Amino acid sequence: MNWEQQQQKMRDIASELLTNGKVDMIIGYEQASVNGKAAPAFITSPEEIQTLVWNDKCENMLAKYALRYKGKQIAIVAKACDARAIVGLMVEHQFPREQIVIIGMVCPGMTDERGRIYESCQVCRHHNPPVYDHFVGDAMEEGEYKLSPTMAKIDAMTPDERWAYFTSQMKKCIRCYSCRQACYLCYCNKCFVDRNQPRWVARTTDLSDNIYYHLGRIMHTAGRCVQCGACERVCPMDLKIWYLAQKVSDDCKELYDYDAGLMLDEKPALADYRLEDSQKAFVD
Amino acid sequence: MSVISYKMLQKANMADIVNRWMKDYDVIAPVKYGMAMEFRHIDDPKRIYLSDGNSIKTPKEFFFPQNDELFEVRDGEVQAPISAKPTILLGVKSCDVTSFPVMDKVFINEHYVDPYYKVRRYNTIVIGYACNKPDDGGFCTTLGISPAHNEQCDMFWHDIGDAYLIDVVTQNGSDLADGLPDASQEDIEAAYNAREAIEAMMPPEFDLADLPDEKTFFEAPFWNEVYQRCIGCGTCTYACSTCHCFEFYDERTKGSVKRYRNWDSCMYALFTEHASGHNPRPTQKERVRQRFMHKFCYYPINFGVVSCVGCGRCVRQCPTNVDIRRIIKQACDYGREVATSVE
Repeated sequence: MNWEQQQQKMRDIASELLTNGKVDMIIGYEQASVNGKAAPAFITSPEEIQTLVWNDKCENMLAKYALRYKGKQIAIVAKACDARAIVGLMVEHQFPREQIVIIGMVCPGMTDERGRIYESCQVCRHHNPPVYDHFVGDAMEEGEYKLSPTMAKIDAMTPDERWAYFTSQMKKCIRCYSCRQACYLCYCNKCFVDRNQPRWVARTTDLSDNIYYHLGRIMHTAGRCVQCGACERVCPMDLKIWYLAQKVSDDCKELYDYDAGLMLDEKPALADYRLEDSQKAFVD
Repeated sequence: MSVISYKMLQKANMADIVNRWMKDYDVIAPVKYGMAMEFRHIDDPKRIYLSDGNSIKTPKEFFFPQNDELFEVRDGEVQAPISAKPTILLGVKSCDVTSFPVMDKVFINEHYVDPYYKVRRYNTIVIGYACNKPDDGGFCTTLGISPAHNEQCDMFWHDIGDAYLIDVVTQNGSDLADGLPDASQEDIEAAYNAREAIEAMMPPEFDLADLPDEKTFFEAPFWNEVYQRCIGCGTCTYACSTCHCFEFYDERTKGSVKRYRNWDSCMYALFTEHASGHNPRPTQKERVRQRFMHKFCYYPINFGVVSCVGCGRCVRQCPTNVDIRRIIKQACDYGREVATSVE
């Protein structure tokens, strides 16, 4: 099934869901007004179904919006990573399974304005939505673990070079928090950077404040992150930060053999304790 | 605006003249940054990168920095250095040039003068630069700004191939251009034909005269939809050439307290959260509405101009395509609809 065939099938499903009143809203994608991109769409009437699109520009993480419509019956056009994110949120008891119809899209990967496949998609292992109500596309073979180009570069560096690279990225941050806002895991009622009585993190773009913010956020996603890459894609300053997410996820995989968002009945790695957990996970 | 004179500067000679200026001025100009450009303090004029398109961040940060240290209290002594080096801001596109007088209305007005902003602003010579190819998302012409609009600056440069044609607009500009040859009538005409060509490429997208009144605008039904995709990041406000909201923040270290003025953003929940926990803008709908109402309704009421120059940064940089053009067009359509139904 190609993109267009998937798009047609997705529209048919969406149309059926809305027409028969099974859902109040479809969250999917429509054509954006610039950059040849797609943008999130919120469809409530069957007449609008034709605006829904499915192509290699559907890069937005839609699971984030599900948090806004708690209590409503919604359907989400979910790439494999969106579907895993939805599963992760269900595991964290954010909404019940019955509330969301997952239109699971098999996804070969998304591309940027210049047609280059995103790094997070290049190394993605899970192209098929693991949990779904509708499966759209021909199942792809699940990939093997691949080191991302950035990770490979970091691995080859000395500690000093790594620090230099890391700080060169952190210096660029303008603290707009778009990475936090795009991340479906960042749903704390009060983010640690917004705590101001007393203030936890300074609000300047000083290097140490930027580092504290990014590392604090990334560590908080350890064992929960599905490595969708939304944090890096939304960054207006083009910071390389996704490799940090990949690193903490890789560590969870190595220590606990845990991949986030694959199963509804498994607790996140760091929320669970088992006797057979690797000793490496404990501080001596 | 009336022009004092037209001068020519061969591109090959630009580094020389900038080097000359650097003896007396701090020069800030665009340099290459990834696929785009960024305004930076220049130490080597060869790094200056004048091109089509716009910088990711706006040059407003040189008058109104993201983190502005206002004063320091050390050992009981308050130190508040309010000074600025004479500066030349080179290569500013027409939209950004126009944004400065819009920002001036907040920081330098009859009720209040902000000394930090004022000293930087008044010590800066602004050299504008014509867009020959507007970025996707820009809509300056809709707001009455030409992409080659030499108002509100000291000098304005047009790229005419091997050379820049310079409109000298003020005495400061004239002093800087001292020694440059006069431009020929042909070159002046070529630059102005280019200006007309680019204006023709950007027909107005809506007419602000159609905007509804404050109450109608505020209560319009489209707000229930346009906010939906917004994820509440501050990118649009940080990228904006006219957004100017700020907060204060004190940083205490041993023996010293520094007070900073930091950019803030109406897109954040924290922006309006009261100490009690009550938030008068409880959801993203109210926050998105505020941003557009501020620019196109409250700012005109308070200062007589819209607080938008059509640079298009928010349109290009928004990760979810919240498009200001589409929203204001919707507001104009709604305004017309309401006006017609009243008649």
